[in-house]
Amino acid sequence: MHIPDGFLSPQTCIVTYGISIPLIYKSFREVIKEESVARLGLLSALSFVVMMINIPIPGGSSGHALGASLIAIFFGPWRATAALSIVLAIQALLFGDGGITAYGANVLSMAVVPAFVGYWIWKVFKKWEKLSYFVAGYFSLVTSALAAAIFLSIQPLLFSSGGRPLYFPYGPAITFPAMLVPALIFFGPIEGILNLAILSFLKKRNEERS
Amino acid sequence: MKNSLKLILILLLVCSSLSAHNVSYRVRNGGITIEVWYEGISPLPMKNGFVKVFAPGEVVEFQKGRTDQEGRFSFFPDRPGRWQVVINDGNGHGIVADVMVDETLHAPIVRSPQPLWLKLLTGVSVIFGIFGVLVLIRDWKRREKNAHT
Repeated sequence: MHIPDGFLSPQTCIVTYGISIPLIYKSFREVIKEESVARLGLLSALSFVVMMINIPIPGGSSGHALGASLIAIFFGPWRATAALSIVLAIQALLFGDGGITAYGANVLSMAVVPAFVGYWIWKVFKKWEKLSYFVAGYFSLVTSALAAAIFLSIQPLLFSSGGRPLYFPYGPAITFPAMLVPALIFFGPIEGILNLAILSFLKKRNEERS
Repeated sequence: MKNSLKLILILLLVCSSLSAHNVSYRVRNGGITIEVWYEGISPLPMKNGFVKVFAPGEVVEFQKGRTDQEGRFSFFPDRPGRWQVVINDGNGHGIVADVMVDETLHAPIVRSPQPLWLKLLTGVSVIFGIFGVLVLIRDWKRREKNAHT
């Protein structure tokens, strides 16, 4: 789900950087206020690990879980945005996962969208604890894939020369099914189960302590 | 007759220099092949991965294409030096490989320099480092606030 360099037009990169930088700034201001920054660091490391483990899917592509809604449920969506922004920067700069020019778009699709969507869905379903963990994870990942699909599929519609796409070549008819079907069938449930397992475990541990 | 022969000769010479209309081919062995796969208990090839090959010091790609069904891509370098091959699967997962091409235009057989566990260890360490700095900033701000009150 990371968008690599060369897939987005410079205009898209500038706009997405322009939107994401103020959001990252606000999210970091929230982190500084946070009492348990160290615990946030631990969950960020967990998110990094789950994102680095790519699961190949039929057709030659791959995907992974995010951990965004997990952090958002624990610490709120702003702090989750900060945590994921750090993780995405490390992946882009050190390991070539996701582009540096596409960092703004990746922050929006893999940090801001899943953190806020996951958090709001968890709030809506909070009454049913276990279900809320699962659906928050599921929909945070699906909407993250949807956001990435939107960024990619508008490229050939907006930036073509003589009918030849200049950047990402596939339009909505190919991009949406290619990105959303694996998210709906494989990675959404994986994210939901991950949320359910970790949040239930941590809650149980907290109850045992208190 | 002589003039006709001369004319044919001249036409032949002109035609041989304008070879763009006549496409020929030859089958060659060799080149440099890079293989990409997803690590795991049973590794899977990265099929149809997007590939860009950059010659030493160049910013415009020397070649681009897709990996085959076995996750392989071949290219023929035209000069020695550090070539860069960028491959990703369209979902942002991929590799950036430096290929050292020698004077004979061959490259040594190498594997990924970083195994997954080392990447994970590096990333987790950097994250802990960044959050360590954030803890320091928070404490420093708190101390500053207390000093003012």
